[in-house]
Amino acid sequence: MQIREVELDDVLVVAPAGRVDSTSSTQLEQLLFDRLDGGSRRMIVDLAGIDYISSAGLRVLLWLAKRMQAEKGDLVLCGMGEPVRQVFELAGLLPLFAVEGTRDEALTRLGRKST
Amino acid sequence: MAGVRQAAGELEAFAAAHGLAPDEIWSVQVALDEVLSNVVRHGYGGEGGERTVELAFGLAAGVLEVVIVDDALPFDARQVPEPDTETPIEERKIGGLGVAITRRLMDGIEYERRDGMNRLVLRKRMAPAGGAG
Repeated sequence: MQIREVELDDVLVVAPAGRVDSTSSTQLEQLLFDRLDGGSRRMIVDLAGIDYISSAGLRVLLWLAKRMQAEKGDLVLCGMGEPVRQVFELAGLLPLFAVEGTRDEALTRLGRKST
Repeated sequence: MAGVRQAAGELEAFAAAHGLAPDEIWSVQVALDEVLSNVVRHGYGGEGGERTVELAFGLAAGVLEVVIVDDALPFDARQVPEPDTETPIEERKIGGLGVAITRRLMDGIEYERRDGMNRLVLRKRMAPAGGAG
């Protein structure tokens, strides 16, 4: 799995690519943990490059959402392809996240002018 | 977890050899990841060491079948209760998701405990040949 990061003012966009499964999810978890630790409180996770996600990946994102809520931060997910959306839905997690279609829409939701 | 990644590669190779597109098998990839990571995490009661899990793939009458045989603790995914999806996020327990996802993604799951081994069969109907998406 590759993870790209872009910082747009105070919004950090994290874009993993490939599979988020039990093997690779620890890599994503570590990065998100580091960024939270480093003070990032406004975050977009762009899932457009994800082929599929298993519950290991869902756990990481659920953990991130909980932490963000506790820290009064903002988290928006975007770019969900069908396989990713289905897994979120089957797990009943979709209502727990702020979800937008595109990265620009996610940025708009966070009150930042899109690029 | 290296073996789990290897299994994903094996499934991919099987699918490619049988003309199955990645967007047809992703659900089976997810289910396989759920089952194997469960075996690794919980199946041996915290004991470390190398373990062997046998995998077999088959495709017949448009149904992809994955057979997973391991000597881990008995575990019947069909008997696990549905996870709680009503509680607010702060109180939500993170568990049981993988099993629920597996059950919902697959068209059929078979389980048998025999001679000290778990034998789990996952079945998923593939789209008819030539069909898009």
